[in-house]
Amino acid sequence: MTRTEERLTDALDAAGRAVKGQDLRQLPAPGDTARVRRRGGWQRWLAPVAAAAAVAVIATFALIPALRHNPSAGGGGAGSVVTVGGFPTGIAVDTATNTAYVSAGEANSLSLVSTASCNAAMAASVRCANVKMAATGGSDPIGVAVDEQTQTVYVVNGGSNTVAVIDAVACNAADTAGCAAKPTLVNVGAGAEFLAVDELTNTVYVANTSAGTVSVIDGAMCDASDTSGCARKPATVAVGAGAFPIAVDPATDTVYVGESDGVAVIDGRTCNASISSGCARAPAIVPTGNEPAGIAVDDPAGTIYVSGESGTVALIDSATCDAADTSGCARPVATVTVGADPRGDAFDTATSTVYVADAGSDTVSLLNAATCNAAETSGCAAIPATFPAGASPRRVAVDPANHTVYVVNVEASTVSVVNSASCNATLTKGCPSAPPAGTSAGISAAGALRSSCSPAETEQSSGQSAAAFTGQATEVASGSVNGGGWTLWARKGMPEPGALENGGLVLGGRWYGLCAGFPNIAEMEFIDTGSRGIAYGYMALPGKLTLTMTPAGSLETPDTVRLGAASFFIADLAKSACAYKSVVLHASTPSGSAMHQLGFGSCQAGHDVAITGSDGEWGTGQGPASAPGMGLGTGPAAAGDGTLVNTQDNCTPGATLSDSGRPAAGQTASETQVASGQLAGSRWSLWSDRSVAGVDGIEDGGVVLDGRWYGLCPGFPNPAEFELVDTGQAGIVVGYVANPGDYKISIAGSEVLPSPASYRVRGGTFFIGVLPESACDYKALQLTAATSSVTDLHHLGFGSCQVNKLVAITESNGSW
Amino acid sequence: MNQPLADSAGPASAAVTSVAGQSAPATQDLADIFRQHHAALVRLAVLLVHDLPTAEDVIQDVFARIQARPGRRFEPGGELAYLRVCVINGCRSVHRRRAVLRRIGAARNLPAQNMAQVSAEAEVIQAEERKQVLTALAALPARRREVLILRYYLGLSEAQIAATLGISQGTVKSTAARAIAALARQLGEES
Repeated sequence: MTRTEERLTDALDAAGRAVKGQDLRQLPAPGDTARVRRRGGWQRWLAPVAAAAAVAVIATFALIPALRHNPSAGGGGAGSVVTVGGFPTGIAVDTATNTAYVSAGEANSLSLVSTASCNAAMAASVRCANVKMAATGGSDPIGVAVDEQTQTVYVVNGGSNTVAVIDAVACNAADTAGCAAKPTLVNVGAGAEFLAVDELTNTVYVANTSAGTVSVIDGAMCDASDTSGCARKPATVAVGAGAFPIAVDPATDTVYVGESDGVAVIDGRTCNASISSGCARAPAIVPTGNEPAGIAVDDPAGTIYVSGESGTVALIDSATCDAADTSGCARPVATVTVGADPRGDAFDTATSTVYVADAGSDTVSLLNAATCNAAETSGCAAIPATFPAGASPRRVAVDPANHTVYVVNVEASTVSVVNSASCNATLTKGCPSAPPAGTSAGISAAGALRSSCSPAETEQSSGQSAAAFTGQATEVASGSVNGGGWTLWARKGMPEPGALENGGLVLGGRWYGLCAGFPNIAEMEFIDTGSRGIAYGYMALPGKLTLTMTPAGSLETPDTVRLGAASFFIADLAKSACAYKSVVLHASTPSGSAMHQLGFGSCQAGHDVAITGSDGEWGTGQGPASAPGMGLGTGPAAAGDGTLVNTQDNCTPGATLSDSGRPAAGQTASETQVASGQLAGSRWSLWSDRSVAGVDGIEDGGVVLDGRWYGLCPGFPNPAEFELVDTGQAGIVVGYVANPGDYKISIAGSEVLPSPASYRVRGGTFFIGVLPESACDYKALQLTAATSSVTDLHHLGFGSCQVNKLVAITESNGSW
Repeated sequence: MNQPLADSAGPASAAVTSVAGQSAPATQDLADIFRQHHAALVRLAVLLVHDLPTAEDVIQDVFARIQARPGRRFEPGGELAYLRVCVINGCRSVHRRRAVLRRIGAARNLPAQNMAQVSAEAEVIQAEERKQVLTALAALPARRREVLILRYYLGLSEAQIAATLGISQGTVKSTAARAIAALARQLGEES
């Protein structure tokens, strides 16, 4: 334990002990209902429902401009994906065995994808389906690297602090004979995650995140053919806390390691498998200032691209910052703004493109290395084009032989397969134009509400010449404000939720983005014009828009433009945009209202005023905008950080599944029957939790079929839920929509299924129907619940099936 | 090292993501859970929200919510892991509300961000060195602060922290390492 850790432990311990039990407020123990404060439960579901509704409406809004240009302009449709083992976080391509090795963190194994059959030229689900597995001999495999000289695959077992040494000849996509054997393991430092191979010196460098060191493994004595040196303790280099991404530049024999303060530069000439004299030397540190998460090396241009979690890629000039010359390491580095939360990156020599995985925006940025490198930065100012990937893309690998880019989508447990010849920094016609199937646009599998755009991009682009942006966008509206004309633009080739958010406003020939980046249906930005400021934004609900702002009188008469299911607005401010430190926007339509509190920071003429804070409430219920969050009840919305927190639900998929099929008598004692009927010769009844009001009671209740109990809580924050029941005699679908309104229910797999019967119950819609086939025959279904103005989608994947039980849900995505 | 709130329930994810298997706790069971964990949870909340009355409010709300949901189920021993998640969520809500209030200028009576400044009742925290550590801790971003408190106060494993915060173990590792580095930097302990 370091001195800092000791001090922290001591301070926390003391602070905790200072809170003495006898000094605490005397609270009644639960059970004394008269004295314990109790909250109504019904607001709980409204916040995620409303937030989620925002996504659907934004999607609808954005679809409108998308339809006004050629929908195929983006090129490659949804693109191809390979399903791999759970939580894949690392990838390496072995061109000798035509294998992409993908670490599967939850499966403690590698997934082996054949790059010979599953590549850009041949990608198709049938060709990518045959993924093999290989044991890694430890837990939570993360980083993967291949030494093609020795035909060895090295895998970091992050949970075991070991590196597995696997024989690539005996364990690859075509030959798995050696995959079952437990690999030889090398002990490395604490928190090992990623690694890199220097084939020139036959050295494996492992970044130990917790230890802040790099382990130096002798690959000559520890590879597929010779493991005699694997038991030796590797030499280590101290690089600083948070050592994480790592890459080798073979041209200069330099090892670059991302850590908390920047990038550490290790001299590979004097610190390798056979020479350790330089390992004790403190490495030079390049202050990239962007929390490095990925490193890609462009040998021809002598540039090291460091993608960082703060949203940029930093450029290091290897000519003046490498093993032999560190004179330029301390200089400020050029940066490029990319998508949100960039992680891994990879360089493709053939197209001079750096592919950057933007984990926070589910995209891949295409950085042009020809115009943005250590020697030439003219192209660094432009924000690179992007294409949509699966949920949380974090690592990228390039297979130059097959002109294929593989993108690891961690939360989707898939790998996107992209054609690098037609999808690169200068040519995007072959890029996917929509997220892969099964990956919800805007909603992650975990239920988190995401924005597909980057606030950093909006900030950087604001006030720049519009010409650089309008070429990638389509004009959808125009008008005048403050004596000048404005036009509104939607981004081409973006998946629907991102088209408008990634578009912007053109005013006086300058570009102002529309991505505040926070999940609120009422968004707004201020422009500092030098005199009176301008406010602009949008409300993502249909109907006539009414706007007010606090302080009162701040907004002059807004100019509003109805765009299908949403409205854009623009207005003069009463004062300079710099005069406002915080405002509260109230936006109301007949179908809902929203309150958005914004804090503003630095102000510069001709630019958007920096947004320093955002919080709000919104909902689709009725009510004036004068009261915050009307339509949401009085509870605070899950706003401000882009995450829907659903952990306080009263039910979980696990509990609902395990309880299913039990005798109903034990379950209905605390329930009230709210509906009943006949179906396929069986009687059903619907029950609501007596202690919970409204639709929430249905979620906490369930359905009784032939005397057996089936809960209605899949547990995901979607207002449109459903389950499948295998009764042995028939397959039954049951579900509900937890919103008021006249919903039309439809369910489809490969084809549309017969519509279930619907019942309006407790302010929502309950539905139940018989499936044409056994419930066990459906691997995935999608529920569509639509009113005239709102459409909720919920895609579910199904797994194990047992008579008189709910079918296990293995995947859930949706938009609403 | 003090091991407050130690439990043997295994990974917290068991309680958070799958709480099946046991019959619903009766009111008496919940009362027992309350008595057993109340003070420890308040201590955790104090470290996260920096003042005792707010921490007590958070814990009170957590138990009130659970009581309002009699159908809540836990795996054996899983209630503590679940309660931790609830406490962290409650504390995050406090920080959100405070941030909004500060922005609109209504924060006159908010507790200061410095835990050491507000815990006058705790003499031991007045020690200058601990105050310095807690001040530096309070200045860290929320996730880093949460990871450090779960790791160095509760002594949770990386897997448990990952499950509690809903992030990957890899993120726990890198966050913890970077948080400690930042703390060391602020405390002038960089090696």
